Amino acid sequence: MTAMPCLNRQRGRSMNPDNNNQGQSPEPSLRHQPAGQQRGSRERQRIRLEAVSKQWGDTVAVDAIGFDVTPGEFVILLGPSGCGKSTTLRMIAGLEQASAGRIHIGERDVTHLPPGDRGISMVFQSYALFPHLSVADNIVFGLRSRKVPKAERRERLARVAQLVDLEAYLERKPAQLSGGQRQRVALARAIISEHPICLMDEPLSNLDARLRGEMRREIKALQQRLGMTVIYVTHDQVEAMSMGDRVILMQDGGIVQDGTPDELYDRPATAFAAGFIGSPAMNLVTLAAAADGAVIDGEPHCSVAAHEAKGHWLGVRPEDIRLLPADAPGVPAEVIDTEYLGADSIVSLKVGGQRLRARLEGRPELAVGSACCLQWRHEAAHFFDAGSGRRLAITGHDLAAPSGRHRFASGGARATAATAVQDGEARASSNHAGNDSSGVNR
Amino acid sequence: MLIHNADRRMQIYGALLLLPAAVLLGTFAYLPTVATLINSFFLPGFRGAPPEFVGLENYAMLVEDATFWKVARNNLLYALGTIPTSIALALGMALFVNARLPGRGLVRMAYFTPTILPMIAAANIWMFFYAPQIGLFNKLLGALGLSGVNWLGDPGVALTSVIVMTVWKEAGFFMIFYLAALQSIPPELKEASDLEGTSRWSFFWRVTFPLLMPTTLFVLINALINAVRVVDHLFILTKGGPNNATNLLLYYVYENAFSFFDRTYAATITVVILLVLAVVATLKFTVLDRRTHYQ
Repeated sequence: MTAMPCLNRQRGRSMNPDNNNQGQSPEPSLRHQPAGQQRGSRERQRIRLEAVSKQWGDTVAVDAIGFDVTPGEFVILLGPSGCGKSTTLRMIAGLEQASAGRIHIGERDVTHLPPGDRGISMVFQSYALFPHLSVADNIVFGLRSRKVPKAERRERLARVAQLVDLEAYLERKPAQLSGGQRQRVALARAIISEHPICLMDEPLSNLDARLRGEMRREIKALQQRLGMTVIYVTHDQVEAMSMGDRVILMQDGGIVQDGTPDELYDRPATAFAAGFIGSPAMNLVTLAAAADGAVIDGEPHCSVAAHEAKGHWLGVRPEDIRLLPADAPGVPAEVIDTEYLGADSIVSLKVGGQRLRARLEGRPELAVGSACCLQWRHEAAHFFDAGSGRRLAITGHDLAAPSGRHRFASGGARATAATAVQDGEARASSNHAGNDSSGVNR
Repeated sequence: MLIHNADRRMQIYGALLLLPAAVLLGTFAYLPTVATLINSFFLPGFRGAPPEFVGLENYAMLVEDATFWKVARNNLLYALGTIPTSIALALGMALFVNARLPGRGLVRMAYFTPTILPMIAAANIWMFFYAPQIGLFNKLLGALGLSGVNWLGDPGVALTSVIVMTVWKEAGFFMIFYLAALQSIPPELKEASDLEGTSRWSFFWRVTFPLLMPTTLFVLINALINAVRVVDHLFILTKGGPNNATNLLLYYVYENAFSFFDRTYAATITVVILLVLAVVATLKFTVLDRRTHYQ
């Protein structure tokens, strides 16, 4: 992350009287800066939450959560609605007072500071544009509040308008803009403040799917170009996986898992995390005891893990499941239906009394009710405690093991798949068999 | 042919839907207006004689009429005294009860109570406030050792007394409109401006007030119409006296029509009032509308 705007210029002017950069350079900001200066200002962007809670009466919205955000990092607060992610963001912004705990930005304890003194900008879900002001006035609204001289306002406006591609619309009112353009105005308003930290509260949820994908890339590119520290709230796991340097998954006011997108995908910390990331979600089935180890409940023939796993949950991602002819080794299953999605298909399967879904490439020709056999690599099997939902350190069996105890090389996997096609029973998703990449965004 | 018929039928259907409203408006708004205009060109016929057409003579008389000019001046002062004050007060009260405060519902209700009271009842209450000897205000002044004021009898004070009462009566009503408008402003706007450290004062003038402009315009027109519509409290409080000090236009119209039985002169004054109102309303909508943002 080399692109670092001279964010300390604005800070020097408006909030940090001790900042010695004030009035130093009249040159345009939003530019690279010498590394030495950069480090000083970057330290001031560190955000630290310590046991922050929020409660309304008896309802606990956020329960003693803590995390650190490194300068320049793109952190996602992810979770279902009502998990406390927006409240957390609003407490960082100062729009909501924390009931307990401390919030630090840089060296300062901002827990009780008003929002305007925290050096942050924010993009709202509803954009919060002033309907009676033109796009230009909306963008410079904050600069006028901070008494930035007119000439500088104009100069910064021109720069930011170019950055977000709004130059042609500066005289329009928000009502005359499309959703995506309004979103850009909201972004521009956040960028022009040159605050080092930007909070975003589900900024894309009002856009249609195509535009959302476009804006996702745009926001990520802007963040990297400007070196902003972003905390981004969303309930959309695709946004989280594709944009975040780090994802903090929340549930019921607490943090479930805090890690990189890969970690969340590859090693979900709880059954909830496993079910939340991935589309379709990870299959979770209960395990029962059998003679030679734990088996999927209702399917006593094929052991999937050692005895210690019995009674717990087994999780397998749909894309990690391979479908083979019924006579192959593995877990016997029955096809319930297939849902064709274009590039791939989701196949619903019945194993014992439980349902699993598998993601297969293309359009497999599977007859409803036909028998088949499921395989997955041992590292694709995740185990979770039946009570607490926590991840268990159990390794599953390699289901293809009886036919040879080696891991498939990709060539071998393809060969297996080819055999399966020839058998006419099923066409397996081969790309996962020998491929170790997590395959988040296929 | 068939399509043409269907079209015609739809038109008749639409016209029929409009008919009730058109009939009501025609009979009770436009017809009287036209009749008034025609009346203003005649002299009343006494003892069964037919009215005599005199052209603009009534209007010439009006220009010469010193009482009319006094009443018009009174009405102007009344409008200037009531409109800005009640609007400012209404906005202030609305901002106050829109904030989080304990017993908010109670305060809102209290502010709105004067509006619910009928004019006559309100005027009667204020009679007791203003009465020279037993009145509340003079009792209070007396307790402080000050000599009382003849609130409604002193020509220099009477109009102000009427104005104060009107403001009391109207501010609560206008407050409701402001309150509704304030609640339609999304709270994120305040949050977004808080994040930029915008002061309350600055937020009010740069965001709240401009967004309330449509309401202000509406309230302004209403207040203006109310200002020339006053009859009832004058009935109870002053009857236009002393020496026409509190006489206002509509009350003067009433006096001419039903006390002096000069119906055509009353019609003349009414036409003048209508003209002035029309001009003012047009000005307001053309000048202010252009600066007003409608959502």
